[in-house]
Amino acid sequence: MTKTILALKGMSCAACANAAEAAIQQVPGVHQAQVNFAAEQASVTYDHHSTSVAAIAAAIAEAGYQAAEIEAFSASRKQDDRPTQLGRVVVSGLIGAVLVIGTLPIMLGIPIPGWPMIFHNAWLQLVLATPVLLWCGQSFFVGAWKAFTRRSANMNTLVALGTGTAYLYSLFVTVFPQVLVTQGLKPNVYYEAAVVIIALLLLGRYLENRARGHTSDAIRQLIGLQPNTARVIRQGTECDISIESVVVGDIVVVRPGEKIPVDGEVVAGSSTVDESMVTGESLPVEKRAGETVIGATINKTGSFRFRAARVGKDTVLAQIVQLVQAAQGSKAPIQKLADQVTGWFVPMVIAIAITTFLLWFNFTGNTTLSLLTTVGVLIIACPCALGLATPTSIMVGTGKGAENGILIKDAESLELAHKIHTLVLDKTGTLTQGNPVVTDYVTVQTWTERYQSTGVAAPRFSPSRSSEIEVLRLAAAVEKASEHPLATAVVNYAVSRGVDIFSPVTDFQAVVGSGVQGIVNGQQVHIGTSAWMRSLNILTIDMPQQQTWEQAAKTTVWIAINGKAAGLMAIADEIKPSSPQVVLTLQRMGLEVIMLTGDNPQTAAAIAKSAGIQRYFANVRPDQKATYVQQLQSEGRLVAMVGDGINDAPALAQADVGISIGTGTDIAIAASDITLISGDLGGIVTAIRLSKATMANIRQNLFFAFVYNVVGIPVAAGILYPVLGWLLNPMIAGAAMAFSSVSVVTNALRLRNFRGIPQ
Amino acid sequence: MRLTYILGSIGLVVALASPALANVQETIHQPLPLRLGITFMGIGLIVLELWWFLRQPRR
Repeated sequence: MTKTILALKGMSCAACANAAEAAIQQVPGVHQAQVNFAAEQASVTYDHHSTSVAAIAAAIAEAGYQAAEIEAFSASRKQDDRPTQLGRVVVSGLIGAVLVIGTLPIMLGIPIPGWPMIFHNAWLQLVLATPVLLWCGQSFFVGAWKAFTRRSANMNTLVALGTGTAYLYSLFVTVFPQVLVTQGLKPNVYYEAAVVIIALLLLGRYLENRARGHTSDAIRQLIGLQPNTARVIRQGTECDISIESVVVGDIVVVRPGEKIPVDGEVVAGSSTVDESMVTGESLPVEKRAGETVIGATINKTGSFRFRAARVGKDTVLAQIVQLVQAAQGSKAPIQKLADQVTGWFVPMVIAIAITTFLLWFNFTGNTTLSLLTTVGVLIIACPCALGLATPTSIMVGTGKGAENGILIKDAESLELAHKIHTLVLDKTGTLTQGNPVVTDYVTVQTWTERYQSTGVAAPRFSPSRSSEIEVLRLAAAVEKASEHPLATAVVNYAVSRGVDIFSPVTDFQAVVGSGVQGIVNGQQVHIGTSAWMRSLNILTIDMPQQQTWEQAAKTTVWIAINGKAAGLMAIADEIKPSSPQVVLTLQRMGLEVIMLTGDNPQTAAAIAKSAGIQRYFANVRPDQKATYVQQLQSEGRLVAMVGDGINDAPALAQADVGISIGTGTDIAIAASDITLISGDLGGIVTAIRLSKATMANIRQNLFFAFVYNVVGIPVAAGILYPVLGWLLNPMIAGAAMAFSSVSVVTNALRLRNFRGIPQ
Repeated sequence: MRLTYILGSIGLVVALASPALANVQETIHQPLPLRLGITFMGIGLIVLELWWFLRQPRR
């Protein structure tokens, strides 16, 4: 399956988005399609053997819209047609003003002495109004006709019907005034209503587009982070080249204060780098030889050289941009309501408008009054605000997340995050630093000889005796074959003690969640948990140190040589400084925080206590994590899982919301719904708060959109007339409709003021 | 946000309170056959319009 994002043009409301989506889904080979009206983009998953982007674009064109593939890492995908729009707004506005002012005495029904009567001439009004309808309002009529031929109805249908009715009625009165006069009616024309409605709707659309442009500010800002040039060493000399010319392997020179052009690995020099724009981490990070640097981050005081490792669309920044673009184009479940409504909304409004005409005609016999109320209903009911309500907030919300170092995969994840009841934290690398170190080590022989008789607890041990070094050498040789963080800790410990770790290992085997085994110099070595040792029938001795270390939140592992317990190690993984505070904040937000760990209950209890976590699951094998998440879900809870390792991927996928730590593995990130680019857990709090703020914003928008239609349609139909004598002027209906869209977009832009917690 | 609510409320109030159709609110006697004819035509138009737009199964 191939996924692509297409930029769409020509949509005017949510009904258009539905029509475009349906057109894409009818293309054979298209697996999934989502059209976002606010972002004006379609996210399409298709089988590239069965169809192509060209075929999908052709289907969209057939439906009446234009589509073009968005190039990766491109912000300037949309051609700005606002100047043309503004021209039409100005022309229609000026003519509308002239007509309204010129016909004021007629509209008010009272003569104004000295008022120029030239504009009362119906033929002059016809001459002025015609270009407004045919040129300024062209898009409404063309759009309506295209939709009609496809048997669909949208905002253009309503506008075209409303203004077209007012214009054609006026044209009839202009050409045959005597028809009305003979019926005892005044031959009034309503060209000004048609013109002003078009002017107001065009103004509303212009303001809406301008405001909507700000919803994708985050993408523009992200792309703007990248410098245009890079200083590389070519043929022994430094030269400035464009960023597009940098290739993998180039040695790039970065001076103090400069932006790092692409991703790479430092080869010489050192410095501190401000990575806040990508990770959200406010403190500068130290960079030395061997460490990775991220493109678009800012070098502070030092100077260094690095080897370009990822360029163009492979850089971290480009991937973030792609992810944010995809998220902004996705649909939140809450939007389904708006989609379902808009599907039948416009045809129903037309039916209501005709009913309005029939009722007024039967009760008053006044054709003019019946027609104007009908026009009012058609104009005020345009569903564009309804279509904008959800996607505008999602666009600003996901963009705001990226600004705070939180990458949200899709709108559904953003929506779900605020409903979470339970947060499951993986211990290693999530709650803790993920860099375990051996803190204590004792061999059975030493303990038996030195401490068993005296009962004195073993102090921090530094191996010196040959037996101790030998056990450590064997353990390190086996652990060297493993990639587990605890294995790395054992190897590092051995290296720091000057022990040879290069003995060859055969028959190496890692037993998930238990330990590792292998043969070194003909000796069978097992390193792992007490439980595993028992299952192997290896007798471990009862050392008081083991309990002491475990109570101090350390993980203990036994080393057995040839089936006999030979040594015990304590490995500690420091809790991240921010973890207790984040756990407390999450608990105050009403979430239950649960820890999953492979440690034994004693160690797990100690770690949970220091992090402020009440509930934990100990002795959890990596393959059991997803089962625990499933178990919590079966209790009716909405569960979020936070993890960083490959072994967390199934649990991240199983959880309702999977949150990965950006410093973790690519697999975990791929399996998650939300990625915290920096390793800071504070991002979880920010993500949940952002989700809450976005959903509140969407509800406000839906309220705005619904209230305009629910209140506006009956009022425009004249429901208040029998009680208060009020009737809605179609021009006011046009203003209210235009304002509803602008107010929805403006409200969504308030989310830009969201502030995450400082990391 | 408050400004948006205020502007929204003003927009609604203005829309609700507009008395600009005062000059066309007169009752005119129309013959019954014409009223019946217009009503049946209108109902027919509603049915035709709903059939045209909603007949196709929507997603």
